[in-house]
Amino acid sequence: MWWLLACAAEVDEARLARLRDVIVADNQIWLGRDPEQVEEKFDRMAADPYDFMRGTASLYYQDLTQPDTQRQSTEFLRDPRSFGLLVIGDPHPENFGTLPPGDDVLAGPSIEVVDLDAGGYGTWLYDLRRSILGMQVFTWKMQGCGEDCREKLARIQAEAYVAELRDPGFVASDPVWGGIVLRLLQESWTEGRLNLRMEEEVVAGRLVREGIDHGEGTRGLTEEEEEQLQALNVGGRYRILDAVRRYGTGIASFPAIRYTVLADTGSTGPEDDVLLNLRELVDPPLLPRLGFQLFDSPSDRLVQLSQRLWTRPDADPWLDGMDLGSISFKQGSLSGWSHNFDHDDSAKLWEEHLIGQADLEGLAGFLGTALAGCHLRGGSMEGSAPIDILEGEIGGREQAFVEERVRDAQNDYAALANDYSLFLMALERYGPLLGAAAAEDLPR
Amino acid sequence: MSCLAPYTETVAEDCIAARAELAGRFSQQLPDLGISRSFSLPRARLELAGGYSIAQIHVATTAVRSGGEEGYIGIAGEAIVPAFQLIELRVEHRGFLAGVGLVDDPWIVAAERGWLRAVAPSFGEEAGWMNRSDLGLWVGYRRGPLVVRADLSSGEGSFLRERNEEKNLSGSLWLRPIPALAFAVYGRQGFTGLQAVSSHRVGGQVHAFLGEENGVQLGLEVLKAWGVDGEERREPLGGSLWAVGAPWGPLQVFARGDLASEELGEEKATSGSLRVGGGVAFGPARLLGGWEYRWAGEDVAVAAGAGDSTDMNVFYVQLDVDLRWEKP
Repeated sequence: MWWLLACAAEVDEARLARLRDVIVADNQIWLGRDPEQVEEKFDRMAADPYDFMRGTASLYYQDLTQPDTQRQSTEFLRDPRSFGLLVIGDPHPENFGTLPPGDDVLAGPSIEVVDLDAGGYGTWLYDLRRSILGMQVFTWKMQGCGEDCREKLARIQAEAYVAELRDPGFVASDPVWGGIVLRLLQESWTEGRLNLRMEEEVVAGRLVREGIDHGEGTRGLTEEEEEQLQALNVGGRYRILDAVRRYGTGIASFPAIRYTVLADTGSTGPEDDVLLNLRELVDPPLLPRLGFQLFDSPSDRLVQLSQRLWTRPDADPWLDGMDLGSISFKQGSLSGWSHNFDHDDSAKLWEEHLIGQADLEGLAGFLGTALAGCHLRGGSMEGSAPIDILEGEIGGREQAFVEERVRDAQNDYAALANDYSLFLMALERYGPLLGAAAAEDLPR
Repeated sequence: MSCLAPYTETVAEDCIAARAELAGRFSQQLPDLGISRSFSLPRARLELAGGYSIAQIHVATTAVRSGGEEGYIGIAGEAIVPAFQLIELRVEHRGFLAGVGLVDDPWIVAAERGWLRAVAPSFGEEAGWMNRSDLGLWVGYRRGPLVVRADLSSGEGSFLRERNEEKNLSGSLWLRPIPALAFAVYGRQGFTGLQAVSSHRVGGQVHAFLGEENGVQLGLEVLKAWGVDGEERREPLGGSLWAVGAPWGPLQVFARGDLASEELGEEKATSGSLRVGGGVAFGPARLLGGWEYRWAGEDVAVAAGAGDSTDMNVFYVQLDVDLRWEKP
C-alpha cells in the first residue's frame, strides 16, 4: 500500500470530502447502534479494494447521477423505459452463488444472485456497468492481469451480455465458463451432498459458539434476541432447535443483525434438520431511475426480486422475508450447497497457476450472460417486455455498445483505485470511523 | 401589522396567532413510468406565533414522509410525520432585530413573497441549494423600507445535526423603496458536511407588486452557488422568473420558468422547468390546475447522455387553503 500513501501530497480534498460524507451517511443507521461493527466494516474495506468496492455502491450510484460536466456520456439510454427495469443493483461476482438443486438432485446446484440487497427498479445499463467494474476489481490481486487483460474481460462481458439478449440460453454448468465457475459448482456439489455445512456448524445437536474476535464469530442469544427470533418465525413455520448471533460476514451489510438457526419441521430425527440464515435488511442505495415503483415492504422486495430474477424461482425453499415494525429480515437456507465466488480464493488459485486468463474470461462471459438473463426475466416498471427495451437501445449498434462498456470499465476502475487511496487517507487522517463519532456525540 | 409577519416587516406586539397552510394534489406524470398517478401533499405547514413586549416566538412544522420518498425504513411504516421548520425567538426594539433558534432563512423568506408556495418551493429551495431554516442566530436592523440582517448558523439545515466546526455566515438586505417594488441581496460564506465543504452563495431578487386587489406580482430570483450537496466542484448558476396574478376577480393565473446551469453557455449542462396554471379562489381556499415541464441536458440528467429521454411532464389539480387566526 505504500504507493497509495505516497500520493498523500496530491490529495483531491473535494473528492475526499464527498467520499467521507457519503460513506458516513450510508452507515448512519448502524453508527448509532453498533459503531464497533462499522469500524470493523471500514477496516475490511481498507484492507481490500474489492471489499471497498462492495461497501461503496451508494457512492457509485450517487456519482453517476450527480450533475457533472466531466461525466462520461452514453449513447444507450434514449428510451425512458430503460430507467425502470428490475435490476440487481450490485451485481459484482461475489453476489453470485450456488443454491441447492431442486427435486432433480442430479441436475446439480444452480448459480443465482444470492445477494439482492441493492436490487429494485433502476437502469439496466448501470447494472451492467457495475457488474463489469466488479469483474475488473476481482482481478486486482492477480499479478499479470493488467490493463490489456482487464480490457479483454470487459469486452467479453459486454459481448456476452449482448449475445444472451440475442439468443437466450444461459446454462450455469456449461463448461465454456471455465475453471472458476466449474470449481464453484464442484464445491457446491461435493459439500452439498455430504451436508458438510451442518457438520461444521453443529456439534452434539447444538450450534457452535465460536466467540467474537475482531467482529467475527458466533455467540449465544440474549433474551431480547431470542424474543426477536421467535417473532421472526411467523406462523411457526419451523421449530427452533438452537440459534446463535453471527458476526463478521458480508461487507456492505457487515454491521447488520444476523442469526444462524438450527431448525426442523417437527420430526424427532435429524432428517428434517435445516440451517437457516436470518439477516436484517436495510434500504437499498438509491438507484438512478425515472419515476418510481415500490414494493410492499423490504422483505417483499427481496422475495419478489429473488422469484423474478432467479433461473429457478423456488431455488431456495426457505427463502422468506419478515417485517417486524421498523426492522425487516430476510431468511434463506444455509447449507453445503451454498457457495459464492470469492476474489481471494481465485487470487490464490491464480498465484498457484491453477487458473489462468481463460478462466477469468470464462467468468466474465458467465457474468455478462447471467446478468442479461436476469434483466430479461425481471420485467419493467411500466410493463413492457425488457427485450423490447434492450433491443431498441442496443440493436444494430452492438459494436459501439461494447466499445462504450470498455471505456467505462477503464474509467470506473481508475476512479475506484483513486477513491480507495482516498479512503485509506481518510481513515489515517480522521480515525477509524472517518470522524463520524465526533458528530454523533453532539447533544441532540 | 401581523403577528405572523416575516422578519422583513414589523411584528405586532402582544399578540397570538396561528396559521395553517395545506395543499392536497393529484398528479399525472408523463412519460407514464411506474406509479405515475399519485396524491401528494405539496404544502402542510402549521405555524404558531406569539408576541409580548419586544419578544416574539415563531414555531412552525411541516410534514415529511419518514424514510424518504423511496425508503422503507421509517416510523410506523413510512408514516408522514411532523418536522419542525421553525423554533425561533425574535426580539425587536427600536429597529434593532435579533433571532435565535431554528431560524428562517432570509433568502427563502424573501423569495416566497408573492409566490404561490403551495404550488412549489422557490427556486433555491427546490434546487436543493438553500435550506429553509437552520440552527443559528441573527441580528438585523430595520429603518423604513430597508432591512439588513446578518446570520450565523450551522450550515446543515433543519434536518441534520452539525457536522463540523465551521459556521455559515451570511448577510442579506431587503429594500422596498416604494410599495410596488422590492429588492433582496444575499451573500453567504457557507460550509457543510464532515469536512466543512464550501457552500457559498450570492444572489439577488427583484419583486414587483402591481395593482391592488386584483394585481399582478412578478418575481425574479438569481442565485450563484459554490459547492452544492457536499460537492465542492459544482458551481452552478440559476434563477427563476415568475408571475402570479388575479386580474379577473377570483380567477388566478400563474407562470414560472426556472433555469440552472452547471456551466454557463453549455446547453448540455443546463436544466430547467416551466410551470403554468390557474384556478379559482373562494375565501381562503383555492382550486388550481397546472402543468409542469422539466428537462435536463445530458450532463445534468439522471444519466449522462440520457438527455431528452428524461424530460418529464406533470399535470395536476390541487386544493389548497391558507387559514390565519390572530388575536391582538
